[in-house]
Amino acid sequence: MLNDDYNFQWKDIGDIMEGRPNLGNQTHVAAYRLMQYTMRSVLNKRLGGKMAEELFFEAGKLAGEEFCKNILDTALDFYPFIAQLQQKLQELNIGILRIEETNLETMKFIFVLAEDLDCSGLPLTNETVCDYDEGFISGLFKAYTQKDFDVKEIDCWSSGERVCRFKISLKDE
Amino acid sequence: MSERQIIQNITQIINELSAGNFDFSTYNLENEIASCNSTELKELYQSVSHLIDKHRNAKDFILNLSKGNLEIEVPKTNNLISSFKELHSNLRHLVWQTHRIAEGDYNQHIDFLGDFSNSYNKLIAGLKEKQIIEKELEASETQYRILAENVSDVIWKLDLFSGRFTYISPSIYALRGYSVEEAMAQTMEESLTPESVRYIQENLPKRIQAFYTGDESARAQISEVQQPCKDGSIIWVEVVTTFITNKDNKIVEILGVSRNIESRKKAAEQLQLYAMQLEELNATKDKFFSIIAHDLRNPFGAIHNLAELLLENIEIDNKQLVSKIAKLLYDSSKHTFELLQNLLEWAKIQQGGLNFKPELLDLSFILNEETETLAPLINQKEISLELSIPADIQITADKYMLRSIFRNLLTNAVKFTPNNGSVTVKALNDNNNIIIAVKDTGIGLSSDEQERLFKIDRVISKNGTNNERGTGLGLMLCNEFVKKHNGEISVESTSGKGSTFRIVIPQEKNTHLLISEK
Ligand SMILES: [Zn+2]
Repeated sequence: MLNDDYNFQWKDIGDIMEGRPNLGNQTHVAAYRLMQYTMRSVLNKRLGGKMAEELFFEAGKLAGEEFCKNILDTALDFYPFIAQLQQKLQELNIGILRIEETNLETMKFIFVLAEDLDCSGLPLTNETVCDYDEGFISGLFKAYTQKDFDVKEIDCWSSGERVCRFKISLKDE
Repeated sequence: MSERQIIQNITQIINELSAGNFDFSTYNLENEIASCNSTELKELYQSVSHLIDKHRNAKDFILNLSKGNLEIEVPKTNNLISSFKELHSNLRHLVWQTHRIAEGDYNQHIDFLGDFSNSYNKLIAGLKEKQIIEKELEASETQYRILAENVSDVIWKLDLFSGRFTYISPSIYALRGYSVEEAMAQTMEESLTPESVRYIQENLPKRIQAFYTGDESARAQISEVQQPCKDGSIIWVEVVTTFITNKDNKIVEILGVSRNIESRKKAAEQLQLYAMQLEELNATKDKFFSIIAHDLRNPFGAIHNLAELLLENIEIDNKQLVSKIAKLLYDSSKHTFELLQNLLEWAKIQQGGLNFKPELLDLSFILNEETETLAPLINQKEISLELSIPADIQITADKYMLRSIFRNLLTNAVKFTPNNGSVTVKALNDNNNIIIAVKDTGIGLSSDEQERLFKIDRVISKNGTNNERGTGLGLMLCNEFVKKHNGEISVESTSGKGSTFRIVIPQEKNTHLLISEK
């Protein structure tokens, strides 16, 4: 891990069933959030909040691309693909994906993540915190369409909206 | 306005807000607060204004939501309505899902509002199932349509009540030459020959009755009918018909598959012909062996005995007896030779080894020659022979066969005519048909005998008036040879009063043969 050129690969997640025969695949959401927010704390202090936000977005994007390539069937048409995504996100207890708008002509979408792993139940801070999710969705769309997408979290639990709402649109060329 | 008055006003505003009133323009506190010196009072007013704004936003948002207007800006950082925001998002998702369902995308799962979502998901599952069934149905329908429209068999449906066809596959054109529209326009009766209509009218009601009385085997049946084609021809068709019943097990339709069986029918006819030929061949073989076993064995036996008798009597020098025996020996051997000659000719015909070589012949000359060979027998029986043949009659015929015909007819006439009887031979050219009649005053033939005369499998043998032997072979030969000339042989006879054998040899066809031969 000291390698400066380390590239994430899906196999780096390892064989969980072999490694955790007793504890299995489940863990507490708290453990995930502990990891994320301590990391954010350290990064914010070292590199500043803005840079930390960018890094989380970037990591999320990488995760989204790899998730799409390794878990989803990209040969599916758009709507079946989305149905599959919904199912996988629920299966992995990441969150409940609800779609509010899809326009395949303008390539504009509004996705909502309820009970989001990153932020649901967080104390109110009046700011959106799901930078990693933004990157994740952007990565998914990139892997599925081979095009770059802008993803902006316009509502977040943390900002008092109870759900995280993402506005997705094709990046201007 | 004093600070106390301002506080009273603010208290009143808060009370009104609790009561649901949002219009506070009459208070006009802005200027009073601005000129007020108390920072606490200013902060209080600010907080109250902020609260009023949040309440107003909340009210507008919820009002829109209640009206079903989901395309609204979600008020930011307003915790008063956070649950309504979640509801708003859920409703927007539900609208999106309903749009998708309306587009036929049934991969939607509703996961809020409890019982509502259960019923909604059940509805989606029902739609999905229906979609699958419809797709399967469509696929199988397409499959059957393709099948029906590409097989050479004609598939059709007939409505039993109206008696009209409700479907006929396009292969009807190949079967009967009619287009689907033309065939559909026909009634069932029009699509069949009258005999087949009668057959159907006789059998169908019986079959329907059998089916209704519980005979399930009556549901499907194979029958053979004849159908007229557009070009006027009639074809044999095998039809497999199946009763189609409704839920009350009442027959509503007949499903049919029709197949052209012309070639099968022709093959069956051919087979029957072969069977007949084989039967004839078998009869020929039987006749052949019977002739060898009896007709040839007996005269040879007689010759053998006579020869033995001759040998014995030569020693005792009885010239008179020897002469008598020699005469008998001569007759027997002559008869046997004739028989052998006929047998040989007949065998040749059977083997197809006898060539038909017509040539132009002088009829009178041929007939005279043949009667001369019979002269000894004619003289012996003192029969008067009359030949009435115009000298100029010429005939195109095979010389060998014609001689055989005359030899046999004349031999028979003499054989079956008692002593002192008469035999008349007449010939004439009737419109290019040579007619030759051989008439005798002999014993004649019964009608049963006449019928069996020329048939190999039923041939009769009859001995002559002086007990001359007969085999029936001669007339069969005549028949075969006359047929080779495209002619006809017939007999007129009354038992005990003589017979007339008549042959007709048409000249046109034979002349034509003669020309083509050369
Ligand atoms: Zn969020």
